Amino acid sequence: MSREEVFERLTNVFREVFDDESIVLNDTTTSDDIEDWDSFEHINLIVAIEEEFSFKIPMGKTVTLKNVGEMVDLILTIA
Amino acid sequence: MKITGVEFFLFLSLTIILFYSIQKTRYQWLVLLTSSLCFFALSTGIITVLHLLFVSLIAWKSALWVENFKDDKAKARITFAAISLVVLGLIILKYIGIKRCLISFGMTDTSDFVNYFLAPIGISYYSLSLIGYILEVFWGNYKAEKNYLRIVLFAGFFPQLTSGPIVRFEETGKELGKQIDFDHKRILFGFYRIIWGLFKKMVIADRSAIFVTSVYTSPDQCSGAVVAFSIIMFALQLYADFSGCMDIIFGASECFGIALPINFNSPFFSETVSEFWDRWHITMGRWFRDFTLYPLLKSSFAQKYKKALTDKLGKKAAKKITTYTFMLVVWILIGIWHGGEAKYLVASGLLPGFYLISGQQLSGFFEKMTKVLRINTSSFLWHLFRKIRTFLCLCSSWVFIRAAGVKEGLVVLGEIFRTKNSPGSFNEQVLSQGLTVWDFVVLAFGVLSLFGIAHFRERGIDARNSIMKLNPAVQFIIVLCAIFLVIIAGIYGPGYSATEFIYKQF
Repeated sequence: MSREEVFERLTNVFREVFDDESIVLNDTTTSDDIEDWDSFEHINLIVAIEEEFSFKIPMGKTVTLKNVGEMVDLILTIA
Repeated sequence: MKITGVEFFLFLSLTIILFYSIQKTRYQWLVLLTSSLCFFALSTGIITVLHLLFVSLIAWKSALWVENFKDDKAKARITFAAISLVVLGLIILKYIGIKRCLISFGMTDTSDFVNYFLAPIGISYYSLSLIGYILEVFWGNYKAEKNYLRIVLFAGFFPQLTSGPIVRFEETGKELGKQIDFDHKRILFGFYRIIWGLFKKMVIADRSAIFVTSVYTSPDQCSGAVVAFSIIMFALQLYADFSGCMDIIFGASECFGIALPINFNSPFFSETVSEFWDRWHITMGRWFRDFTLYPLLKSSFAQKYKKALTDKLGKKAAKKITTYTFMLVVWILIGIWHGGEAKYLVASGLLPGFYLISGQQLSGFFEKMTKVLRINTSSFLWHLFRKIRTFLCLCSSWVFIRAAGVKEGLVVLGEIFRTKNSPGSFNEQVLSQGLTVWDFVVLAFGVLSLFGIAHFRERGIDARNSIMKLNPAVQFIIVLCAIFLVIIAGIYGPGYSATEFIYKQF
């Protein structure tokens, strides 16, 4: 799976979770850039990513991911 | 040993001298460990030190085993067993009470045992810190610590034994092992914060407590306005008490070059209850989020529950109901952690949880209303309204912390609206609750100082940094004035010892 492909699928996940079709992701996107991305929505996002890419994100990584770039790297490593 | 007492400051000074007398050696942290164990023994008795050593041993050994085992199931079993043991100790020593346990085993004269086994101070805080450590090693966030004594220090570092914060090994545990060189600025910085904490505790919190205690003792004798005023005064007392305690703890830690994780961030500037919990008792909120809410929501049980709801109610509703259900579970756990009594369950669990969930649920409705009513949502007044609304929500839940129980809390709330036979004018009643006009002037000054410093901090201006930039003579005068203010305007309880911190009981 290429990095671009991961970005494309991840963008769809974000749009569905936050119910916002205008979301555009890049490596540096963080919770500060998306209005509804709070600590509660974060876990829904993690679960949605797990469903989309069919793997389990380790619990430790759930709280240490700093931005979308790290998320993509993690998906590329595990998936 | 109270952290507002002379004994504590003598103890702290002695530890600072010893700590820096062996600087540039690998053994500096052992001074902190020895002092912490002495502090613990002097505060609640030598036998309770055993509890700290025991739970630290569980955390240290289980983490090492988890790291060495290959089998995931075995790792999970060890982690579960270790956490269960720590939680069991917490339940027995804090919630059930050792006395009731001994009686249940058929022992009638329990006094000697009870005196030895008082619930160790800070047990709720260090137990959570250790559970966090066990889980983080299990999740592979970092390597297990090989030195047992470093785990003991991480859990029992003496300033944090009173009221937290709830620390994480990755940030604080590693800080505690650093070699620190003497720097007078560091000591001065810590000292300024301690003075600020003493001001909050002894001048503001303990003064407010006199008024609050008087009104809460007989709310039926006061008019509704005075009862409402006492509820607001309790919010001030609670904040000044808890954050003042934190300032003393942080100041003491800074003297050793240790930066503890922030626990308060101008909470009364919050515009929603959700934002408030990101600013108040931050380390507790973070702990419950990372170590209970997230694992619960990620569990297969939660996913099955969500799937069942999705089939009936649709994806969006199922997601919300699942999140809210588990948030409520966590808020109940937070209530239990605060004391286990029904009033804490209401004040620290159910009511904040209810406000948080309803706030999120109604956010869309409020947004529509602001558009219909053409409210300028960027105006100062709108932001002020949101801050006051959040503050009043919190005040209503804190009534139950201060009241003797849930029933008594409801009585206090009811007294606001009950019509009474002319109990005197508002001013007369307020001045008959143990405080004079002078006391209210001091309180007004205290509140202005609190908001002034918080206001500047919100804008990135730190009061201590600003003071440090001043001429040393001016700095000296400011510090001297602050010390005299605490000495002259501080409230001293029986035997000239400050009253206990509210959060110490948790």
